[in-house]
Amino acid sequence: MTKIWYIIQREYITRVRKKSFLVLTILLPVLVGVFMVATVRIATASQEKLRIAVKDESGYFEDKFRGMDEGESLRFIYLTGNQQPIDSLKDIYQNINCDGILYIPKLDVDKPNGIAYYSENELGLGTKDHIVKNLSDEIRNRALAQRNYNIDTIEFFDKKISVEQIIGNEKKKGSAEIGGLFGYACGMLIYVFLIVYGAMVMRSVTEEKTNRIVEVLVTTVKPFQLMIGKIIGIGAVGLTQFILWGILIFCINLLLPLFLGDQMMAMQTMQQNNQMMSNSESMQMIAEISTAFQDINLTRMVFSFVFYFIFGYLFYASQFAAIGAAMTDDNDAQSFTFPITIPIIISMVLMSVTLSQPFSSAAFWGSILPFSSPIIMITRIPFQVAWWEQLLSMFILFISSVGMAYIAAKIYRVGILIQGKKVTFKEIGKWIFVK
Amino acid sequence: MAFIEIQHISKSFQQKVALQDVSLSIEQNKIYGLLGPNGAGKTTLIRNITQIFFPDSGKILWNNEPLSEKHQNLIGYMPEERGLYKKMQVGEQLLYFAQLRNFSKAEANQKINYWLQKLDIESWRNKTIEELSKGMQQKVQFVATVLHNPTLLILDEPFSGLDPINAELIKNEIFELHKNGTTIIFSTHRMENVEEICEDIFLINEGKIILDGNVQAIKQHYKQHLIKVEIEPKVPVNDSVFKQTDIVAQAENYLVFKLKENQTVNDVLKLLMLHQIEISGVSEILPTVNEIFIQAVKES
Repeated sequence: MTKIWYIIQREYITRVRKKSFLVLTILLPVLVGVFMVATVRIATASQEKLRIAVKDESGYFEDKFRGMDEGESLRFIYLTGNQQPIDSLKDIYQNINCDGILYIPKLDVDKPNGIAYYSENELGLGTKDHIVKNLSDEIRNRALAQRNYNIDTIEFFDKKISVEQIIGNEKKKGSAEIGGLFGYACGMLIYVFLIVYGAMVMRSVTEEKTNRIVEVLVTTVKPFQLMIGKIIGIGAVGLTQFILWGILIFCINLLLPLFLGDQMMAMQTMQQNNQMMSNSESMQMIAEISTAFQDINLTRMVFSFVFYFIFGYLFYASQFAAIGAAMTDDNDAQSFTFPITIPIIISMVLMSVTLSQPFSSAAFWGSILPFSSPIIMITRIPFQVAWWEQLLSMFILFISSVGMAYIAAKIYRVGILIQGKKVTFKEIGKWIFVK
Repeated sequence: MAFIEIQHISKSFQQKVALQDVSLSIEQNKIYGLLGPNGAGKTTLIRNITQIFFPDSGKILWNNEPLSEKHQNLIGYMPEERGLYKKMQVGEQLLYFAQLRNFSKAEANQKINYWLQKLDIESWRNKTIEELSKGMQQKVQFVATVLHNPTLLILDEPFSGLDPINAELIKNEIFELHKNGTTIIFSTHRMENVEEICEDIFLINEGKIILDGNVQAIKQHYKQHLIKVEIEPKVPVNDSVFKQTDIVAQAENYLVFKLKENQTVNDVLKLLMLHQIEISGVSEILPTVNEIFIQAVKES
C-alpha cells in the first residue's frame, strides 16, 4: 500500500505543479468571469439610453408610465397638461431633451388604433416589446372591465393546469424536467471526466513505456500497483481541478457585482424584459426549481454521484491504461481508443433518451450495463428509480470495474515491456492469459 | 554454495521460446558477464531474475530460498534503455526511487547526498532530467540503481553513451561495489569490457546457455595452441623452419606458430636457435572473448 501511495503522490504532485495545470485551473474560471463581465458590459454599453416623451390624450396611462422607467436606460417623460397638438409636438421633442415622442390618442379600447412613436431612430426590440406589453395589458384590462368581466376571474382562467404525480405513496412536488436536467448535468460531468482523465492515464502509461522508465519501476513495484497508483493519482488531479473550478467559479460569481454594480441589475432587467417574463412567471420558475430540488433525494444523489464517478472512472481508466500499455506510439491512439470511446459516446446519446423516457428499456439497460451505467443511472436517479435497480447497477459496476482493473493489469504487465512492435487486439487478448 | 541458483528455467511468449531449460549458478561477490547475440534471451533471463517475469517452469533460488518479492529490494537493475522522468528534478527522482525501495525520506536523502557527492554531481540535484546531457542522465540512472546498496547488481550496457572519463568513473564504482561484496551481472556486447571486468561469463544463444565458466578457463579451453615468437630481423628464416613447423603468421620481427601434436614450445625455440635466429620474446596467444563468442555461437 505504501508503494501505491508514493506512486499516487508522484502522479498527483508532478501534475498539479505543472504550469499548464495551474494555468488551466485558474484561467478557465477567470475566462468564464471575464466573459460574463464582458458580455454584461457590452450589452449594457450598447443599450439604448432613451428618453421618451409621452403624449397621452386617452389619460389611461398616466400612472402606468411612471413605473415603466428602467434606470438610466429608459425614461418616460409624461407630458401632463400639455395641450399642444401632436403635429406641433412631434417636431420639437428634441427641445425637451427627448429621443422620441409616444403618442396615444383618445382610445376606443375595442379598436385601439392611432398609437404612434415619432423619432429619428427606430426603437430597439426590447424597448418596443416593453412599451407594447404595458400598453396591451392596460387596454386589455380596460376592455374586460368594459364588458363587466372580473379581472381576477380572467386571471384564474389564464392559470396553467398541472398534473400531480404520485410515485408509490409519495406525492412528487417538483417538475421532473428540472430534476432530470440536474441528473443530466451530473451525467455530463462524469462523461467529461471519463474522457479527459481516461485519456490522460493512457498518455501517461505510453510515456512511461516509451521512455523505458517502466522497466526500472517494475523491478520495485508490481505492475498492478503501478497502474492503480497512476489511475488514482490522475483521478485525484481531475477531482482537484473540478473542485477548484467549482470554488473559483462560485467566488467569481460572488465577486461579479463588485465589478459590474448597476450594470448587472440593468442587464437582469433587460433580460427579463427581453423574455417578456413577468415577475410572477419568474418567481414561479424559481419556485419550481426549488421544489424540484426538494423532490430529489440529495443524499441519494450525492452518494450515487460519488459512487458512479469513482467506479465509472476506475472501469474506463483501467481500459485506457491497458490500451496505453499496448501502444507503441501516439499514432496507435486513434485505432486503439475507438472501442473504448464508442460505449461512452453511445451513453451520451442514451442520456437524451433517458431524459424523455427514463423508464424505457433502453434507459433501464443503459443504467444496468457497466459500460453506460455511470452516465445513464445518474441521469435516471432524479426520476426516482427503484432502489433495487440502482443497487443492481452499482453491484454490476463494482464487480465489473474491479474485474476490468484485474484484466487491464494483466494486459498492462505484458504490454509495458513490449517495444517497437505493433500489436493486434488478438495479441492483447492473449496477454490476459500470460503467466 | 551458490548464492543464486537458476534451475532449469524455461520461458515462452506465445510461440516464441525465449529461454529453454536454463541452469546457472551465481556465486556471491563475483562479476559475471552475460553475453549473447541480439534476441538470444539475455533480457528475458534478467527479467526472470528481477521478477518482472516468472518462469513457465523451473525455479530460481536465492540463498536456497525460492526467489520472492522480499528479494526485490536486494537487486539493483539498470536496463540498457535508460528510463527517467524527464520533467522531474534529479533529487526528487532519486527520492521517489528510494521510497519505492522502502526507504524513509530521511534515509533516502542521506543516501542521495552520499552518492551525489561521491559522483560529484551535487549541483544537479535541482535540475530536471531534460536539462542534462545523455551522459549525465546515465550517471543519475546509475545512482538510482545502486542507491539502496543492492546485493545483486545487474547492469545492461552500463557504459553506452558515456565518455571515457565518465566510463572510467562508473567502472571504478562498479569495482568498489564488488569489493564491498556486491555480486554483479554485466550484460554487454563490448567484449573489451568483459575481458577487463568479468571473472566469469555466461554465453546464451537461442534461449540456451552454450558456455559458462571462468574467463581464463574458457580461454584455455578455446586456445588454438598458438605461440608468438618475437625475433631480431637480422637473420632470414630458413626454409627448414617452415617445413618442420606450422607458421600461421609472420612479419619481419615475429612469427606465430601453431603447435603440432606432441610439439612443445621448447621444440620450436630449439629449432629457431639452431638456425641462429635471435629470440627477443615468447608469448602464448589466447583467443579473445570476442573470438570465443563468435566461435561458440557458430558452433551452437
